[in-house]
Amino acid sequence: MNLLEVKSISKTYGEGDTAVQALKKVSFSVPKGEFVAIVGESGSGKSTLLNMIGALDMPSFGKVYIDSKDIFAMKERNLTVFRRRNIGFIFQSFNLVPELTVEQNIVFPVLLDYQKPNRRYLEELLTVLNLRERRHHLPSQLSGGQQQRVAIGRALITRPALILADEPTGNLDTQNSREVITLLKEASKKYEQTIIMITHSRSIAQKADRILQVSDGELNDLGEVR
Amino acid sequence: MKSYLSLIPISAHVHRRQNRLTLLCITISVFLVTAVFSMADMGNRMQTNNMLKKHGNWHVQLKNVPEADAEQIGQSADVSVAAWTDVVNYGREEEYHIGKRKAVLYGIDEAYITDIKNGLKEGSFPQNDTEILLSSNAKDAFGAKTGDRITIETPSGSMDFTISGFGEDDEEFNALYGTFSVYMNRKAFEKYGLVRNPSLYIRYQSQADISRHVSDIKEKYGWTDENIEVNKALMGTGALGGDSGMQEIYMIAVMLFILILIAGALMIAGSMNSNVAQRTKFFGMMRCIGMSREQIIRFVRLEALNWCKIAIPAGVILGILVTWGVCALLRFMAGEEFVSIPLFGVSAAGIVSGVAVGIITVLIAAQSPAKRASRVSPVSAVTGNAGDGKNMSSAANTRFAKIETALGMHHAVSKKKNLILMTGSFALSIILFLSFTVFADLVGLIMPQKSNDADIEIASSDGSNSISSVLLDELGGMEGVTNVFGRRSCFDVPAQFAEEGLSSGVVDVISYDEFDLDCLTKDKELKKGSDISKVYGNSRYVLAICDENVPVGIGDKIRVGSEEVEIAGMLKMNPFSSDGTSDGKVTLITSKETFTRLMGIAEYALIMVQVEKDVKNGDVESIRNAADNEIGGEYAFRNRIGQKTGNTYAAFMIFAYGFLAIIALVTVLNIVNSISMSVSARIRQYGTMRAVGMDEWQVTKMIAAEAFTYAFYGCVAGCILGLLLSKGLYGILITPHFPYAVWSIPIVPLLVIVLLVFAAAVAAVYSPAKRIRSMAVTETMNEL
Repeated sequence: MNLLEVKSISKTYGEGDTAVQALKKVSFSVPKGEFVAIVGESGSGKSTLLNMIGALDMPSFGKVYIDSKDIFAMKERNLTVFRRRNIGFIFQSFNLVPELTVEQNIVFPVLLDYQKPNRRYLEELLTVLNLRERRHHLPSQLSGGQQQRVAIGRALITRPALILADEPTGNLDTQNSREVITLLKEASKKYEQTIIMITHSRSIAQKADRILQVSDGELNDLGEVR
Repeated sequence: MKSYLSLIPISAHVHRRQNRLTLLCITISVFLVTAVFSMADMGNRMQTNNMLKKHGNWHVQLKNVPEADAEQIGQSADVSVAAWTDVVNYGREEEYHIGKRKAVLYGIDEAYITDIKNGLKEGSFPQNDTEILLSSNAKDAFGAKTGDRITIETPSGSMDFTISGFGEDDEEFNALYGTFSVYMNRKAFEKYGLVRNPSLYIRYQSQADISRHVSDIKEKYGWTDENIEVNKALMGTGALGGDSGMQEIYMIAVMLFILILIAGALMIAGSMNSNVAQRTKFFGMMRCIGMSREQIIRFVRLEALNWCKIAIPAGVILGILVTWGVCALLRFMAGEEFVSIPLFGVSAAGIVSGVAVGIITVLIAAQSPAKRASRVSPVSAVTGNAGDGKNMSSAANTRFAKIETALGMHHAVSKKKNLILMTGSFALSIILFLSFTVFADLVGLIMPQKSNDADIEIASSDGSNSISSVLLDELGGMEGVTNVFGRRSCFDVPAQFAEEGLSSGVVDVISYDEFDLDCLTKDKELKKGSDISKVYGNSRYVLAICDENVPVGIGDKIRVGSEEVEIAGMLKMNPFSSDGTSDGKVTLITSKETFTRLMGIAEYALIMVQVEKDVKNGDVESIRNAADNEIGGEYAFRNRIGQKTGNTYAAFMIFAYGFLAIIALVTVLNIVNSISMSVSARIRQYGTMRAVGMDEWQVTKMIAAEAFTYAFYGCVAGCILGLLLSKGLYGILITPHFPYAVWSIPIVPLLVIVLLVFAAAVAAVYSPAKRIRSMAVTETMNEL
């Protein structure tokens, strides 16, 4: 069963002579629990595609279905709640809230939902992410790898069906990069989460189940990784 | 691009929106200072004109000196004008009359009335001993014309003269005492044996060396201050380079200058700090490509000064225009003394101080942001969350409030410097507002507007109750009269107080007519607990006036003569003394009926007349004639129409509240600007929060929490300091001059400014929240 279905989405920036077509009728689907890597040159349209899937930006044409729901048919508020509960984001530059501790950053999406975080699950995440000792630290007191692990925790806390990671290892060294990818893969398996990850690194892309390549706004499925 | 600094106008163009409010802040600061100093300057010019008109254009007056010596001084080369004058019956005690009214006789040189006093209105100066120049009020009083014959009654008999013209040197004096001024040439004055004590008025060619001239004369002739008088009124206005009088106004202007400077610097520094904070990556990039720290500092400073190019001229022009508007308002709508205020005056002091405040404020304000920008690490250019939370020392407390509220509050308090700047800037607006209300109170006390203020007072000459109530009835029906009421009075009436320990066993008893009593209620002159309704008509109740330390209060009984009366109410202050105190004395106010019953007196000591705003001189003369006919003998007629302060009071109040409104506007703008800047600086963070699930309403709540935290801290600091300053200013400016005035917490202004601050905080949230809502999440995340 497909968790994500992208149907013929296009995105054009600007108008007339200055118009740039970032995505050209891109279609693909991802089954539940699959770990997909998207590769491509800078400016090829990878991030634009990821933003469309995460409903951070609107496509010019086309539809995106997550769990069979047409996300762009939702009203803004419903879409926000949907995103909060069903999609986890991991950014290259971590984008943690500097005023919140590690623990607060992780439970942030739950707090936004005015819910009480599941303490057991939180402890489990802190353990898996090796952040128990750092739970009361602020992001500024953490290394890049630790900050990215916090971001992963934040993406996992609501047990979303889909995790979107935009170059999650872009700011990390090799050791940390390896750890982050391992964590993501484990999460994908353990919690049956679908992961779509943008990366520049071929070696990291090889860790995924399937690789998609974006080139000049067009998508090519490079197939499953053996 | 000629140099890296050429980037400044380009950057300013790109960041137009962020800079808009900063520009407005500078413009307002410049405008306020330009307007305040220009108004002070115009006030000085008006004062000079008024002083010239009222006291004459002379520098020194030589009196009680040998005429030959004075004549010699008057002929020296550096004297521009010298004119002799002598006066008879200035005290109105001698029997010089024109008709029934007293006349003051002057023996003068022509230059005195034409040049020194600039008072010749019509006709010519008397050329021989049969001619006189008459004050203009004679025209209204008995229709006198140039060429008419007129008789002056003197103690030694009647004298007939021909009127050569009209003019006078002191209209106010004649209006107040109902006198006529008669001007003769000195030969005639001598001929009729009127010479008393002539004095010589001198105007020097240069205004600069008056003090030197005075000391030279004193030294040469051995004269003292008794012999040589300086025109202090004119000196005080600054026209002669003097250093008193207007100095106070300039002092206030300087004080406002400093306050505006601080407020402006705080406002601009706050917005610049946010401006720099949101461009961390830009400065990092500049450092990356080779800009030194010093160059960054210079860049930020020049960027700030670049705003002055537009803001300073705009502020100065606005200041000049507003000054013109206020001058026009004062000239055409306020009292008599504002008639001479310049209409389209341009003040160099106003412009210079406006420009100065603009540049100084911006340079002070740019200091901290420039240093901050220079400290940005070049790494910031390559990492996304440049400097984010670098200085963060504590986490937001999410236990007591919802996450978005906790974050908003934390945004406000996390950076101490920013919090101090924001709190200080909000607080300063409140402090300015509360301090200025003291000035408004002062104006109210200096120019009390009482409903029973008389335009014309007709009083018995010896203060006795001798004016018949028939006059009151007659005046009531006359043209131009709106209200007539009278007072009877008995002083030092033996009284027995129920309360022991009173030093005096006497009271003053004064009757108020119904209208007068009504005015006490209308003007809120009664103390709490008073019941004036019992006092009306023939009653056994009275109102009392006494100091706080005299143990007389509402409900106390006093035996006056054979009757006992009860105090039904107390007045807050003594309206019969200049400083509002009673000096240990007790005064009882009764209704006219009660007074007649207690004292057995039905005649009045004082009749007070209120007239229409545009009353004609002829109507005033008719009132005087009616008083002449009814009273017959000696009485005092005081025309106070020209002294009414209603319009002046209104003008001052418009000015005071106009200033308050501007302060309020600055407060609102400051809050709106600060919140907008703060949001701009964190827009990337908001983008992330929206990406991970924060909805629009939560974003709005977060911004609102930040705005209200600033407002809360600002209000607390502003109210505490503002009230302390208000009390201090009250103690310095009001209490010494008006001992009865007691400072109380200015609840209404306090509520107004606090509500305004919170309303501004609400308004401040609207625009940035809307801006974020209208942006796509990716747009907010990527905005630099």
